[in-house]
Amino acid sequence: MTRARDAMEHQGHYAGPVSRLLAYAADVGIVGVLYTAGLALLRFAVEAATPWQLNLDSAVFAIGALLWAALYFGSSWVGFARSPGMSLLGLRIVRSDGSDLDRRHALIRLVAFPLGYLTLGIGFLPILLGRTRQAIYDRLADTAVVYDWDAEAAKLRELAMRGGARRTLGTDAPADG
Amino acid sequence: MDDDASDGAPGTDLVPLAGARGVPRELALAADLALGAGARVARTAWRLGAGGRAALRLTASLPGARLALRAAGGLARPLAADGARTRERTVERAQALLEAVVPAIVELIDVDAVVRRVDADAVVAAIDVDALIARTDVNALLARVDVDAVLAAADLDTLIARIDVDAIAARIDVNAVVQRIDVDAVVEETELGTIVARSTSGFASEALDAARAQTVGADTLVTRIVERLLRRRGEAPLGPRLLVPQEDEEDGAP
Repeated sequence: MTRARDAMEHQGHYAGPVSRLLAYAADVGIVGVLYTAGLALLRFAVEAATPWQLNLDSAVFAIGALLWAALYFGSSWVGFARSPGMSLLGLRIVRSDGSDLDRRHALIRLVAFPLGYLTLGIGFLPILLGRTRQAIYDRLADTAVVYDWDAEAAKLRELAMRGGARRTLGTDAPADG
Repeated sequence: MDDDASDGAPGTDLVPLAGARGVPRELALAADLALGAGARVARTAWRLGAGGRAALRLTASLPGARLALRAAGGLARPLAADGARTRERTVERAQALLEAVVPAIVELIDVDAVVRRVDADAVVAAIDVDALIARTDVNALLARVDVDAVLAAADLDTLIARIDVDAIAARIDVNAVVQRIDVDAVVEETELGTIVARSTSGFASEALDAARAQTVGADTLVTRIVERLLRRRGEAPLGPRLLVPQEDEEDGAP
């Protein structure tokens, strides 16, 4: 098991493909759940308040989903330099030199993001194969994704838990020597 | 020089001891006459000197002189023995007299006054301290010091009270000391860690810590596999320049 103590050394490093994929999956899940829930709420409100029914065309549904996703990612990247999914995994978007992400480059990244799909996924491959883990939209926006979570606090929590467990069990020897 | 020294220090005048008997006047006069006669004879003999000794040798070489001298020796022997006994008695009495008189004289001496008249600076200036130290085996001297006894006799409380702790503390590089503290060990081995854990952790944060740590491990594993499959050589950059010091920067290269 990789402990928080070891993970702390990775802070500021380029985030790996597993973290990026899980963060993106979490974001997609959040976007989907919120969009579906929002539509259901809207439909219920329309049917309750008016004599009409809300029947969306699939194209409209898809366009709505894309706009919602753009709003979701755009606002979180511009406002916090990370999406909610990235927050869960402890990732952050920075400029390629490590400086803070500004609004302009966040918007460029947002606009360039579909290129990952439009290139049939090839645009995502550098996350797995590239040494700086920059996807095509990262290259265009001059951004990178790094580990950025409070590993120091996590390490202290882990150490405290282990020490407390040892004292409770009455054993003196450290668990890992 | 002070007046006391020139006039004679107080208490140095000889005074008769209490209870001492006076010497009869006639006896003192006889002693003076004997001493005077003896001194005159001695001076005359000294003046005769070599002439007298030569006359004695000449007399001894005359015929019959040896016999006369032997007869004179026989007559003088009892006188010599009597004189020796008298001398011994005189020595004994003189010794007894000295034993009685010397302590009294010592008592009469004002040692403080004597010491006051000594020029201590001149005495010290005359001592060659460097030569004295050069002749001293300091190691042997220190080896003979009983440190435990010295410490036992020392008043450590007074010593500590004289130490300027603030001055010492001002010279301590606290940052360097703190850098040497193993914070991880402190948190893990003390109740401080429990306090930290209670104040900052919840189930969600602990789960998140574990998940993030696991993900970092998975990233490292995948990266290693990809690097091996692509047969890459050399170290990959770990992170952006501003977040991770590059190796050439660490080496001081431009």
